[in-house]
Amino acid sequence: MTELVVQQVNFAYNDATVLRDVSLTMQPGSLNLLVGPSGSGKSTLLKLLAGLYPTFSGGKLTGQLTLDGYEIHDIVPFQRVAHIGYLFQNPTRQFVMKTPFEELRFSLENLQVAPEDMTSRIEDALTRVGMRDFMWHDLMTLSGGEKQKVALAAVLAADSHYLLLDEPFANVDPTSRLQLIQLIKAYQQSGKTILIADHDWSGYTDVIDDVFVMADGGLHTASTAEKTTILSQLPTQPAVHTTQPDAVIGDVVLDQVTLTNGDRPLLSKTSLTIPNAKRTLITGPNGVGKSTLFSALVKLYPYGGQILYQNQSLTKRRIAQHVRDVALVFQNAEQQFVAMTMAEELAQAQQMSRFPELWTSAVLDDVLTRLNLAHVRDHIVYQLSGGQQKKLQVLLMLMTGTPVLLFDEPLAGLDSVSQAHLLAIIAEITTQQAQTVVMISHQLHAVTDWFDYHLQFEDQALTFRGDAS
Amino acid sequence: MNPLMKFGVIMIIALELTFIKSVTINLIVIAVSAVLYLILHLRWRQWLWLCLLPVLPGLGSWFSLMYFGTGDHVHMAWVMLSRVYAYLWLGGLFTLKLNDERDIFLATLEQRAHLSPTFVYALVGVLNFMPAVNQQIKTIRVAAQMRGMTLHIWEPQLYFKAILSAIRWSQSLAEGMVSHGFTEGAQRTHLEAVTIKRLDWVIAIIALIAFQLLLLPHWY
Repeated sequence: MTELVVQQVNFAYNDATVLRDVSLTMQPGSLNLLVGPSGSGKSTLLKLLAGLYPTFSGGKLTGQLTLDGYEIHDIVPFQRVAHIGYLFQNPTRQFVMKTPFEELRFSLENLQVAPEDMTSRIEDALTRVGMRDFMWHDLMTLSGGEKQKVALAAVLAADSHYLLLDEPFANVDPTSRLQLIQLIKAYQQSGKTILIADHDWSGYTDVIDDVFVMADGGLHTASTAEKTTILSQLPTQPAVHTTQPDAVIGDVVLDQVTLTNGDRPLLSKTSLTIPNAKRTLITGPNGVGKSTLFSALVKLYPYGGQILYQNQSLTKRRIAQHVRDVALVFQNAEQQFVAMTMAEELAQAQQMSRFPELWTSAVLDDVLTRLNLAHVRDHIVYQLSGGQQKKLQVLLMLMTGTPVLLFDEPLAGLDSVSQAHLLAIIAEITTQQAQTVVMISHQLHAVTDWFDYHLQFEDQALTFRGDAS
Repeated sequence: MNPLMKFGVIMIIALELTFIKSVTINLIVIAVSAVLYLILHLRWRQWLWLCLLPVLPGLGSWFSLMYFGTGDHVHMAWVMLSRVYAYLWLGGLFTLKLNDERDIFLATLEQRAHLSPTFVYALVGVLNFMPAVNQQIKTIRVAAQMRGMTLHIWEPQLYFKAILSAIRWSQSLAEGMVSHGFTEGAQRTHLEAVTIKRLDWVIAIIALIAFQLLLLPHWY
């Protein structure tokens, strides 16, 4: 059994301390949870453990971070990966090759697995995560959750002793999530040690051995009482309370719309109206086509049938004009920044706002404080943490004041406090500005009473769910 | 034929063409390429490209030699025109098939030509990323338009964002490669070992000898 030692680890970029005197001991063969607010240093710790940092980040590392007595980042990757597997937070860009099979082949070739064992190991790993049928599909056409399953298969195929997962389910639907948890549990039962950083631990509360709490760069092991409190914070089966819409009035109308991904049908002929000035939730399994639907609504993806905005077909609307009426809050926050610092971004958004009278400096100061962003106002936007970037992006899009706002997983990767604040602010502002909100989210426990309507995307159809109103 | 072998033969013949001032030889090369294309079953669009692409550089050098050249300029004008076509049609034998043969070409470079795997897999990553570039530029523009800003193609902001996403992407590619165990300079195993068939060698040698024989009569 290899031994991972983390003793008094400190890590800092220039003068900004990220980790302070961190020590971590995991029981062999245990499943452990790492919790803490967004930006507290969880991803940094995991990447240090995986040996990716400081090689890829720069920064100064002190303290003991060793595997069997060797500095982790000094071990050559092909030997390190055989001991420590790592799953990225963002599933989109961790692949080198074109298809799942080739990606796993690449990985096993690096690990110098004998050619005659390779095919069976690849097929076995892909079968275990339920992606065998997608073995030769183009990775770019897979959904976030499907990519995450392939990434997990690569780790399973490498058969490492330690498995580190950074928010592995942030973009995964509840069904796939349960499947992945079962897989990870089975992996643990074969004697592996696992550490998961997550904001949402519904579904595996009963199997967690230890909880590690990260706050402001410091780490401690939760006491039994603290662990019980943390794990009891979430209901296992959140029920979303919405009503059925009647006599819907709306600017966005789908008329016999179809969507496909390559030769895979996503949506068969669907007609519906998105209710104006209401909040509508879209849920559905991974890869069902939720993000694709949003892309089609902003003219970034081809579709069949007609999509109308204020009775005008999207085909007749120039994209630049259209997205001033229907805007998408992208999953990747960085894509939506247009300046360098947060202050510049805010100034730009104030200037472009449809409701400049609402966005006085006092209001802005108040909102920034509530979002816990006031202290990073002069920072470069690309250097903010994932959670901070997301909160800023949502704020900027709210300031712009587009009549229809589509949110693609705005809560993924945020801690529950940030989620609650962000939802409160979205509700407040969109009500003031009479905006229509459509949101894709898997973080159902955070939104049980937040939405007016609920659209279920399943079996190539969109259906309104909820009680009769 | 293995694409790397094909590449080598084409390079040698092309190099020799550079020193040969013969319209006839150029025409023979074009004719042989045309026969090979007929066997390969090109799409009409590819034929169109083969015919149109050399027009501009070919006619450019033809006109400049014809009207502004000195010495044996009339002959040279025709040599240059036919040479541009010969280069392109010869090169096309390699490039037009490259899409289908890309993986085997890169695998040959790694395993047979012993090119650094770091280079080969960085290239694989880049090639896999290419289709996403256009979409990415479009997305960047639309994302900015949603913030009320139009990024025109002459605006540096657009390129800043594009370069930024390229840098991000290359970083995550590097991290992805390392997290999947890729090690610079380390041994790797190969699921499919690339072998160059003896027949490939024979065909390559015959092609090269035939070309030399063609040059023997000194008719250029």
